[in-house]
Amino acid sequence: MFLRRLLVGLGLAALFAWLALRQPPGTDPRLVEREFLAMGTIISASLYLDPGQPRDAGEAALRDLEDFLRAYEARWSAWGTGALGQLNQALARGETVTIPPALQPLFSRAAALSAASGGRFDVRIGRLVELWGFHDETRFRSEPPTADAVAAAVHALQAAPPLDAAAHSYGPARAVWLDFGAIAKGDATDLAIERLRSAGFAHAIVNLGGNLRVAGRRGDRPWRIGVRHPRVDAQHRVLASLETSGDEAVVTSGDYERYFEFEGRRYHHLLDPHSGYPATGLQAVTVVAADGALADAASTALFVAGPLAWRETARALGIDQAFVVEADGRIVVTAALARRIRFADDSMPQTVP
Amino acid sequence: MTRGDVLAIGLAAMLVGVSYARHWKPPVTATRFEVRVAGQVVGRYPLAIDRELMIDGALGLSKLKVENGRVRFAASPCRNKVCVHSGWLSHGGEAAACLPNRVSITLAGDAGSGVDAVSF
Repeated sequence: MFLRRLLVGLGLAALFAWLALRQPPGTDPRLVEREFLAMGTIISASLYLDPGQPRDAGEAALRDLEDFLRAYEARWSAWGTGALGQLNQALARGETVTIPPALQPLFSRAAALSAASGGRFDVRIGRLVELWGFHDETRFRSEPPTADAVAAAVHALQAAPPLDAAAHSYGPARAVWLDFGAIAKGDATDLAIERLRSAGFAHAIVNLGGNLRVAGRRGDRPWRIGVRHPRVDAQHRVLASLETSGDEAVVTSGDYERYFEFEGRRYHHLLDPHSGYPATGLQAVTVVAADGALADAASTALFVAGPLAWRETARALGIDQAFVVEADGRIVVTAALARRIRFADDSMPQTVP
Repeated sequence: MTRGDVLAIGLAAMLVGVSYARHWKPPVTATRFEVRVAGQVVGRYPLAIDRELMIDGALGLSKLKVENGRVRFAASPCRNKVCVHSGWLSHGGEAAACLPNRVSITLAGDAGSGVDAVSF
């Protein structure tokens, strides 16, 4: 009896001593990180070097990536002076525009995804985004536009020609201002990972404002990805975590990313192209897919589809790993994602096929 | 042992279980954060010291508040206060930014236990 108590006591003492004294692991010399502001958000890139790979080569690759993403931003900025900006100005003048070869692949991709999503993802949405003031983070509105203005913008959008995946030109479409904001970040993560891989870095995370693309592993373990809780407080920061398997994208769209409040209502940036208003019914959508452009466009389309139609929209887009947080905080997750994602203990997710 | 002892021990064990479930957090809490202006690191600060920091950005001063191991934007000279809406940050990998003022903060924690990146 005495011996057993002694052993239990010593065991507990050893446990607490270990808990108190264990060292936090130091910074890992094989992890190279870089962070910068571009594309209207925080971008961070991490590399995990192979044994023997020089650290300064990794640092140089990430500097090169920053330049590459700044050039990408200039090219795809809807209200800038680069390739897409010029195209938009030509459309506004009533011209038919030829799509430059550098823009063609993503144009075709966007056209196909827009059709597959039933128009819930639509890059022709620029005028509506502008009307709501979400196109310029330095100049958000503090009140919603008038119902008449929204109705006019929706009507103009519906009357405009659709994008054709096979076409090399577009227009005339005077009312259309193209905005690739719901797909370009995902596409940029794809190109970034490709670029790092061809420079010899197979293990990386590129995080464009929460649009993640992951490749390889972090040494002897997979990369671990957290998903932000849509209503953060002291107990709820990270809603779920996921160990990635190889090469995949994790993209979240939420009503907390860009929004303003007016008379007690939240108006966020995820606009429904059919109604012209911020989509309702969900707080956030997370999509896991093989490529970033698809995951990015799909997360927007699923958010716009709302609690009743998101699952069907995901199927139409070929997405089988996704979860949504409904307006009341309830989580619904697809079976394929439920098998590998870990939610916070008190979240009680419901699984759907 | 009397029945009272059993009851007392049982209650104590339950209390331990409940406090464990209620208060134990996985060790992903950040220990320090970095402040950048236009992408350049302007400072690294521990989260353990409560204080207010004024960061000079493109438009003016952003006020950061550090309290109880957390940090947040308390004020910033931007219009819509997206940064202030971001609220308290306390976990490694979390970040917030005031884009108009070009000020961003990123939290770093125990590399081995937390997540490597956060989708938001």
